[in-house]
Amino acid sequence: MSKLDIQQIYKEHAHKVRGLAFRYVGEAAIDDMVQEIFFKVWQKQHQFKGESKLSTWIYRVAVNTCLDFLRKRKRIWNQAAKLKMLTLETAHKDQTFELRDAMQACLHEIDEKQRDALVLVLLEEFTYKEAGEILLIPTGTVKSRVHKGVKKMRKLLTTRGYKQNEAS
Amino acid sequence: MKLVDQENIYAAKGEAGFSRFLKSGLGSAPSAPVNELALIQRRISAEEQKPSFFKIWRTGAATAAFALAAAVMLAVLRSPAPSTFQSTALFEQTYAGLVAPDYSVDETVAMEDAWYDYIGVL
Repeated sequence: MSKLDIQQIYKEHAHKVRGLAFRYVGEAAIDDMVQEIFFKVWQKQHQFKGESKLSTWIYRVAVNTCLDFLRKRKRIWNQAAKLKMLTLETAHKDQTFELRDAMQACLHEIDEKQRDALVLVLLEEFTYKEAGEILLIPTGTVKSRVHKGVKKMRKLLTTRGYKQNEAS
Repeated sequence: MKLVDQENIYAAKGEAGFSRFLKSGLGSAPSAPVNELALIQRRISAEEQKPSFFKIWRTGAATAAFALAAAVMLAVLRSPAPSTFQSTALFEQTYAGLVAPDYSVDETVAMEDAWYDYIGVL
């Protein structure tokens, strides 16, 4: 395979990769993560055998890079999250930001596999088929993981105090 | 209990609704820094400058092979050829005998004969 034109790839996929990285690592680490993802794409280009679309392979590299990052930082993140939750409980915050923090925390609390499916399908608008190709799992499994992920997220948000608006 | 008035969890029916709810709640990624591509290219360029594992391995193997060859050559050169060494020593001894005034003629002739016998053997 000829060498990938990283400039072209960046132009075509940076937006989507950025969105994906944001869902996984949040605002603080996103710039480093995007750089790391494109570097990995360049570094691992020999592994792309053309069995899937190039875009699918790039998003797979993106998801794996983010997951690696999260695993490495899990302990630190857990400590930070605990601190954040403590801050949330004690300080008065704007409702939008409070909900955002809670959502992010819940997203990191659900099962990793369910989160992957949920992020790709519900947040980054990949089809079930595309998500399956990225995660290397059957489409049916993606559907089931999204369903379970949504259920779990609703439950977690409810336990954090977000309940149904009686009017709706 | 907090109420999420705009798009609450349960009002967001189904996966599509929940997707909208999540997206509005989580917000979107901040825009990329202007020099992001340049930073990526710089990192790639730096990586390209680094010698690859194969290059390092090849250089290492070549060095090891050279060192081994040099060691073998040195060992060969330093080990004396027995016949040359012995014949030279004997010649020196014999020659010293020939010119030494203390030996009688017979002794000198005997030593000379021994020398030629030795040369003949060689």
